[in-house]
Amino acid sequence: MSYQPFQKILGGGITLMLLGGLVTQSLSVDSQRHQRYRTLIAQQLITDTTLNKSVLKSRYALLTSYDPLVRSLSEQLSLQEKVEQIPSYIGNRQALQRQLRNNQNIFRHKEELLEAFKSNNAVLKNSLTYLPELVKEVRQGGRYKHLSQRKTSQLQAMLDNVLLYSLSTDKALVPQIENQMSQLEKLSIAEPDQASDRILLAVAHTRIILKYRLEVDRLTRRILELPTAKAIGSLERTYTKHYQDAVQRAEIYRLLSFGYLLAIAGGIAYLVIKRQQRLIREQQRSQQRLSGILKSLTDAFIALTPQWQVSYINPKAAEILQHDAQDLLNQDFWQIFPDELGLKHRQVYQTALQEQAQQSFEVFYPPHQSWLEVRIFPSVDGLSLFFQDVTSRKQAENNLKQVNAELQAAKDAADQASQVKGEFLANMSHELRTPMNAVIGMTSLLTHTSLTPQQQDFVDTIRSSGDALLCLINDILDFSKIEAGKLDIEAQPFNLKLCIEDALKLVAPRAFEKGLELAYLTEPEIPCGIVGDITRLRQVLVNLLSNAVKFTESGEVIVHVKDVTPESTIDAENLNQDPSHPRLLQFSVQDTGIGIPQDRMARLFKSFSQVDASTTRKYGGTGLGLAISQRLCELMGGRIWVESEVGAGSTFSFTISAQVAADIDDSSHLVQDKLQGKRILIVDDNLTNRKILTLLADIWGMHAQAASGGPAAIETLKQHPQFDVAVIDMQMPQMDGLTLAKHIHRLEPYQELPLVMLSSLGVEAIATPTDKSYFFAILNKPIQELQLGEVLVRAVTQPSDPVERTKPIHTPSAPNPQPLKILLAEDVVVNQKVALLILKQMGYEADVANNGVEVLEALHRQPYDVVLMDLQMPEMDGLTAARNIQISWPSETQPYIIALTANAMQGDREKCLEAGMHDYVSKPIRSEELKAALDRYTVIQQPSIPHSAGAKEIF
Amino acid sequence: MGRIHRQRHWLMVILFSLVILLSWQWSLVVKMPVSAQWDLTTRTAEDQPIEPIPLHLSLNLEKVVLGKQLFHDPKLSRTSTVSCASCHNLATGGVDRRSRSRGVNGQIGTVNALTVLNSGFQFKQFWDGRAASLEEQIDGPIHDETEMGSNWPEIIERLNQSPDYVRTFNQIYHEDISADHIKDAIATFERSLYTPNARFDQFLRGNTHALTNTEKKGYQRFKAYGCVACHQGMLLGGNMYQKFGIFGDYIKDRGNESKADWGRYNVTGKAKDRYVFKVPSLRNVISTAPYFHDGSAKTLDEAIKIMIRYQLGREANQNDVDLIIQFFQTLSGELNEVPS
Repeated sequence: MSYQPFQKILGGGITLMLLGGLVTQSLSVDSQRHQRYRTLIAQQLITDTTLNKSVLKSRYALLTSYDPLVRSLSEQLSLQEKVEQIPSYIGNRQALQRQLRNNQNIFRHKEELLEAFKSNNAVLKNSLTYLPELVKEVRQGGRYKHLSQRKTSQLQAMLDNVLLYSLSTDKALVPQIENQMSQLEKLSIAEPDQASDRILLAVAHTRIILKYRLEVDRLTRRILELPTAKAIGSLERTYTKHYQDAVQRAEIYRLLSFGYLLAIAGGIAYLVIKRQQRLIREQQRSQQRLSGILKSLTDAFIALTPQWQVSYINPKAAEILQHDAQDLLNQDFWQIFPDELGLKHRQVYQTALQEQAQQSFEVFYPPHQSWLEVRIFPSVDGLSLFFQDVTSRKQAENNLKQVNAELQAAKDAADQASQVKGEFLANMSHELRTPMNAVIGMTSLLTHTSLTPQQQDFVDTIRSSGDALLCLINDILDFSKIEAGKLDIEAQPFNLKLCIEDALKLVAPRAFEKGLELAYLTEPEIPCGIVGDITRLRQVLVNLLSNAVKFTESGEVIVHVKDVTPESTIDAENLNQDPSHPRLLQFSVQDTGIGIPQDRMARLFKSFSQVDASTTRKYGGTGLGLAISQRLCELMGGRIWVESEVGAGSTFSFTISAQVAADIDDSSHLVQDKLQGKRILIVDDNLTNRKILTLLADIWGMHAQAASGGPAAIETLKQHPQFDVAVIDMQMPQMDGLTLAKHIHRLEPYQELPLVMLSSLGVEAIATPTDKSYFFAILNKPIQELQLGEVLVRAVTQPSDPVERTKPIHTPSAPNPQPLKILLAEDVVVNQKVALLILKQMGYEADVANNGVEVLEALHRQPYDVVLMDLQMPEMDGLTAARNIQISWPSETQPYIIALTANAMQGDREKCLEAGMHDYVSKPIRSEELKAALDRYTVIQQPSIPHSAGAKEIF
Repeated sequence: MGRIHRQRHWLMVILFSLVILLSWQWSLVVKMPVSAQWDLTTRTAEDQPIEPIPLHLSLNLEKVVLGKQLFHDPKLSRTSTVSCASCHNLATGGVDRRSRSRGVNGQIGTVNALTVLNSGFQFKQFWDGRAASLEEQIDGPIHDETEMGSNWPEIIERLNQSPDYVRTFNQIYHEDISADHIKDAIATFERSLYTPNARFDQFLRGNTHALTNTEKKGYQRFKAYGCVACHQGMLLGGNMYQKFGIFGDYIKDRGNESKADWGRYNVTGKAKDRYVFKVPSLRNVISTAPYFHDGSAKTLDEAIKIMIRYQLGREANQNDVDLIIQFFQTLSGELNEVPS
């Protein structure tokens, strides 16, 4: 049997319906109805009899009113109507209906006869009633006394006969009477006299009596002979027969329903029994399962009743107790169990039972020389005890503890060592740099004394060696700091492109010396501002770039930047909407250098390793740069790797994770507005440069065309006379930039075409102002996007301003006639390098101090005109140093202190001013700002402008 | 678990035995006989030709009141001018005192209106006995073009527009107004128009002083002449058919024979039923002139003489006729009208 609920309900429903049907059928014979029906039929019989009785009575003048007759008849008819409603339990109705129809016909016939009877009988009665009177009248005379004797006697004779006839109904009299009637009629007609009407009347009565007598008798006979009783009888019989049939059928149904009910009961009982059996089987099976499990347990298991009797004990437990399992059943737990396991821990057992809470404890069991863990579980009927041998575990635990202790000791030792290292580092950095600064400081002093060229040469060597050594020391210290985990990565928003450009600028001199092209290419979706550590990013870039430049003899070094954030972590639609999601940016430094052999690649990032020993000799370097870069990349949430082919070049790639900085403005849209739709010609022999420039032009909405050399450029210009501006590389093989410029300005439509020159730094082929006048602007490579953009905007909006043209923008300025003594206080190496480079560009040489203490020491050694003071420095920060200077130095010899601040917040400026600083430049250092600051210093030096007012203005 | 099993088992056993018990009982029940109920009423009125009208009839009063309203409601006719009461006026003996009644649009009917009084006791309705009950009779005048000329749907629609009727019908029959209900109400009202306690009835009941001597003589004459042969029973007639004109052809003698004169023949189609009519009731006869199916006898005197001549074949004695008329006056009973 299926136990799905739907089938069950359906089955149950059908069963019940069937049962209901059977029961209904068996109850169909309504005995009351049957009795009523039988009564009706009986009543019909009685009524019929009464009717016949009444008829007879009327016939014999015993009934003077027809009301009873009418009543009986109407009753009969109403009974018939009722009888015609056959009870529902009669199966075959046709026989009964036929009988009923038959009966009805008979009753209708009877009715007809009765009506005729009534009328005829009344007439007859009337005449018969009159007859004696008539006889009397005739005899006595009265109205008949005027009759003739003959008529009278004939009348009398006739009337006598009629009288006799009425009493005896002797048929023999009839012809005689009729004879007499016709005679009288003839007489009356022949001799019409007064009384003849009366005679005719008498004859009429006689005729009526004769006729109606017969008629009434005939009707009576017919009425009585109608087989109404028989009909009713046969109706009764037919009905009874059918009733019996119905009863029999009902009996059968009753038996059937009874049997069905029994069958249902039996079925239910069967189901219940099966279910019980199933439950029992399941129970048994689960019992077996349980006992199987228990037997196979490696633990000892004992079940206790609440009365501490053993209800179950498994073989292992029996083993422990060294008894048979059978013997131990139903024994008292406390007695059979050894004290160490039982009584001694009585409290625990009792708690478990009383509070229905799990308990456990460990105990050493001497007989087995083992540790046992006793676990007590409350169960439905008492307690379940598990004894587990935990000796090995105990041992393991002890071992673990020992090992942990040792580890802890080792850790403590390591921590101590690390601490020692850190302290060492702190000491060392100071100890190492101090003499170095002294060396460098002294050499710079020397430079400012009068020296012979040979001496100057020696001093330069000392200076450069000192710089190199300082570099090395800084590297080592940096590396140690990272290793000691004392390096923090900042998270500040900064302009990514400017950072890259700074890095490029640092390596640009060396690259252009070797004739290498240097550029960077960013994918369009790269954000202009990101949140991260600009210094460290620049450090990594500078490291890779300087490696690339070092190991490339010819060709180019290009930086590619793209977004490689994995798809699953970003919602493509919200790419730009969700700044909180960090993006993964990939930087690749690609060079066309000597390449790295496959088997050496693994060692690259290991500290102190160069590709091979020979490289150190040939190319120099500490071998720490890549290791530091690797660690920095990891700290910035990325990784670093290399792809290379010997002889073709290498590509060093690294990734960092950074959030987009929302509020760094790249101003490219400003540029874009102005440059939209302008036509630009790009001339550069280097493919990458052409690519970069074309890309930039596209970003700015310009229509760009590129030419790889002078002749091609001229051809393009001739064919398309609508260019608005042209960007020309200086260093080109076929025709250099200057020559090309001259050719262009000879062309008809392009005499006034603004030309922008891109020259590698240091290659100053354009020396004369005339040469310079061919160009609207001369820019240094590497290409700086914003700078170029601004220049192009100016080029297309003020193309023919001769004043502007003659004054090219951003040429390297001539060295300042005033040699200023500048001290740079900056702890971060790469920032030092940047600042120094900028100063060098402006024609200044500066000394370096790494922190406030070194600044003071340097000042002790020699006076400086300007101190560029970084505020954030270890040992002693900028503000403290400035204050110290203010206190310790007389005001005449105090240097002009320019603060290098990362954030110029309101409070910071006040603090700087208070501390004795005179100016500030925001980091990252821009050459214009620094120049402006130094110019301000120069202005202040002039006595016409008061010192204090100027200071206030600046701040 | 053993516990649960045991409980279940006991439950099953109890249920099972209950089932057995019930079915056994039920089988017994079926076989038990039910005593028959006999309800036969027998009337014994074998010696008196005439019986008194019952003093009380129990009828549904609500239906009677409604029936009275409908009886007097001319909305039952097409032109809303003729009601049952127009021809069967209760104030004028339940007839209209015309030879032939006037229907809608002033049309003249075919026969004299029979009285509605005691009509519930008549064995058939109409002169030709074509309606077996009062309910059946109502269909006649309703549909007859010369009488009310209407039809049931029209009447029901009219009645439905009266919220009173709708409410009353709903109250009594718990159904919408229908022809059957209308007929039932009117018939119940008509049955309530019985006139018991006529002086003659009092006499029949044993009060010999209820009749004067002349009236008693009149009764005797009535019987002696043989009138009582047909005018017998509770209503003095109204329970049989009889040919009009046994001793002579009344219709021919009257002249202008029409279909209405053919009587029962119009119903049965049998030649022997020609000129056969229902014997009318003589109750309240003094109020129901003119007489006969054609209303040809304007006075009782006339009627009695015609009857004696054509039905009884006798010679009428004026004195006897007067006596009979005297006797007829004792046949008028009391009508207890229900308030409307």
